[in-house]
Amino acid sequence: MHGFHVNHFWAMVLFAALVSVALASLGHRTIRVRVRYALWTLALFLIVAIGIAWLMYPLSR
Amino acid sequence: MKAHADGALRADLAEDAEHEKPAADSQTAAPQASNAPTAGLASIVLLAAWAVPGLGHALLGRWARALGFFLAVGGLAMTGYLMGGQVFSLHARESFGTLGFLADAAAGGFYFLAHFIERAGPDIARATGNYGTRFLAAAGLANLLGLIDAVETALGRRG
Repeated sequence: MHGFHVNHFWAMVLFAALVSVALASLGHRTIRVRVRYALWTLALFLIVAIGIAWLMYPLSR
Repeated sequence: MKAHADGALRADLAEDAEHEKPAADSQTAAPQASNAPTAGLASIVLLAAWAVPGLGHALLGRWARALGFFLAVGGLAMTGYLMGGQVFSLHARESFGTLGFLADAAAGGFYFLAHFIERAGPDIARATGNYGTRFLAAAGLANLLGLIDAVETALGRRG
């Protein structure tokens, strides 16, 4: 039962989204603040990961 | 749609307002009188939060947090299994395996689902399987955060 195949990028997006939900569930009072925090955390995850990927790109050549 | 969202928000605010009152009362009450039941509740919350992610918060009436943790931990664990991630056992031969077991086992009930979902075993020869291993470890660590939050809330240290 290993029918779930995703590429690097979508695996990272899925991971970041689920971890963002877990982090947003901690210590925030209202649903609106939690949703905003989750979206902000997700955006930071993706920006930092893509930034690091571009920084490492010269090493892979 | 907007009315539904407003209703959900109001319910959440009401939930939080309801829980602020006992926290304020507990500061003025004698600590000796409230310690025993609070420690008992914290123990139950600890076990519940480990066994089923989010159940500790649900027992405390924090439904939004309970749902958030259940979805996040469950999503990470189930995705990890579907990707063919490796589940570490207690009898690992190396120290990294022991650390992997501790991380995986922190997911509680989802750890034991591995026997039913990953009947074919892990598939770490492919990159997807390796990602799955990380998803499973992250599920355990996320549940550990939720568990600590639930226990701290039960002890009255968090709002």
